[in-house]
Amino acid sequence: MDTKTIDRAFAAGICALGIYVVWNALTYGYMRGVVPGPGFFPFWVGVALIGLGVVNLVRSLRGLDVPDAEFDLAGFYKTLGIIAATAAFILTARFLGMLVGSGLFILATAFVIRPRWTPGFAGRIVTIAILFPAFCYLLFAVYLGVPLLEGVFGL
Amino acid sequence: MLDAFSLLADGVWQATAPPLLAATLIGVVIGLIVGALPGLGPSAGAAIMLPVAVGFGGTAAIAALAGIYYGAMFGGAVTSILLGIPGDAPSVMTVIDGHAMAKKGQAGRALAMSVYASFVGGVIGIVLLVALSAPVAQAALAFGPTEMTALMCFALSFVTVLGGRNLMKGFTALFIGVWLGMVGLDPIAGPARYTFGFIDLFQGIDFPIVAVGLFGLSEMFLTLSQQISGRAEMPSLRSLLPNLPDMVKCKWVMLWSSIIGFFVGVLPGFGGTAATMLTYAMAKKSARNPDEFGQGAIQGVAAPEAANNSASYGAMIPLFALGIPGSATTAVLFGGLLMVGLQPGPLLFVENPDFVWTVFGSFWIGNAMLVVLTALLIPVLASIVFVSTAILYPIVFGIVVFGVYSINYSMADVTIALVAGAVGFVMLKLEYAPVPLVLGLVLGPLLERGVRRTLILSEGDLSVFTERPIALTFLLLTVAVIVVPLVVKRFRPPLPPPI
Repeated sequence: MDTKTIDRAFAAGICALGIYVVWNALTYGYMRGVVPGPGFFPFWVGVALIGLGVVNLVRSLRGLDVPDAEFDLAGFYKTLGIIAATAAFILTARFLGMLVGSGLFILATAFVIRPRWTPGFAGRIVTIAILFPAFCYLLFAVYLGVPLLEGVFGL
Repeated sequence: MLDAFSLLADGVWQATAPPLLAATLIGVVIGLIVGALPGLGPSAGAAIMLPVAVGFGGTAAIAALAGIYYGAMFGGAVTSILLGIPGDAPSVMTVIDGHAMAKKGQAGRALAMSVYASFVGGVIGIVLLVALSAPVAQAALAFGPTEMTALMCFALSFVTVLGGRNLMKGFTALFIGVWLGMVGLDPIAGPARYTFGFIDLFQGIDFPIVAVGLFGLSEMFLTLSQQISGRAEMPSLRSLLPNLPDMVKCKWVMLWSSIIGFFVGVLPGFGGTAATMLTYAMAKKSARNPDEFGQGAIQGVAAPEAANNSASYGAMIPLFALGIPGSATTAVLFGGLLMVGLQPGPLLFVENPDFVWTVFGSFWIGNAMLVVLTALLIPVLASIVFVSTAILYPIVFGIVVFGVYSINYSMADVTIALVAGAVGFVMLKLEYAPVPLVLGLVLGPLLERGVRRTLILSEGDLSVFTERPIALTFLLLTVAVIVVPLVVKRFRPPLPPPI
């Protein structure tokens, strides 16, 4: 998918968001007597989103102000990989515990950013993956008093 | 005026307390590092550190976050001069003459001038901040809900500047932010709005969590593929000592660059980068030998470095005195103030004067610390640029995850930050500037409350906004700020086709 298509899809998404905002605003109540109700502001924000979405879509279709940046696939996949690693950390935190999970998270994100590991790099990143949970424990659990999630290992 | 400086003296004394000194030191060191690292600017650095810094407690948190801001101005110059790589946008102009000097073997002289000019810019910036913030806040105290509402409109109108090159996309980002600010219980009438049935969203979306995603994570996503290679020639410590002839040669350039930088910094949306470009151009124009500029003119280092430091303090005026963040970094500071339980704005000077003056005192101390730290850490700062992103970023991502979790002890917050980071990444790629979104998220709820309260008091009569002269002035300025760029764009003659 190229940048132009994503730009158009995003503009169409803004229009859809605007319609959703207006629709709900009307259910909250536009006016309460002579003064604005809870739906007054959202209504106008929704109208603005619809209008701006249409303008952006039309401008994109007419080839005006097309974004210069390309979605380079390598960077895009790395971003998806980091998001997936973070999502996995969030989902497994209650089972593994945040400290154990963070060590694995460091290894996973390093793998996403650099899939080919030399022995030197592997040594460095594994050391970091071991030391990082200890650092987080001292900073967050001990110094800042944050109750970190513990997992089945009691960590 | 003298009162303000005596309060500052007290503030400096308070800021020497060990916990505050430690927080300021941590802030300025992180600022130096993020300033040196290409891709991570002060806004990303402050956003990433926000959840951790808040754990330090009220004054220390803001001292640390502000330290990141002005520390980055010092750090950006090091890689600009030694490697020709600007660590952040306000250091771009320093590359031109600073790196040219380094290539001639004068890296130490350029670095010494950058540190000295940054210090002078910082001192002048703090003096002007202290002199002007209290009177501005005093004047703003006279504002009622109508004037404050009109002021919010005026602040939001600066999206025409903050929105990047595509105005319509800037406004779109602004309205997305305003909508996100409405999520949660309606503050006046009570019903839940746009919560999708999630109880976690009833209290609304925490602005700092979105800021971490939008400014911290998205910037890192953008630079994931970036890898820098090269070699820097390290100057000797001796060459970093102040050079008297250079100081004399640049004294007037530093003075007026600092003053201009400060006032450009006050304007929402302009900030350090615009200040450096303006002062560099002026330094070149006023130089005896303008041809030296670009070849390694010492004034070409002094002007932007003095200006960007001074501008960082200028940006604090709208934040502290009016409660309006004018840039990405001050938006993060705004979030920090809210998280430590303080509402930025004129009442801050009345209700929490100790806090304000101690924070300003920490600026003074941080600025002095940076002179020594920058000189000592130059080798580290120059080499950190070459640290592989595969080593550095997993650590930073990890700290972000723990930091966001520690705000409310909630993994839902980590999810929100992650979504904000992903959306911010797409927005940056599609040229939807994220700053208007954050501005909308911060100021939107205040504007809605202001408009509705004013209309409730006036029983729906809209003429209250035009009957009060201050409110009317702000509204007219708002219209001018929005309409003038559109008119200029409409009637600007088309550029000739490239040859």
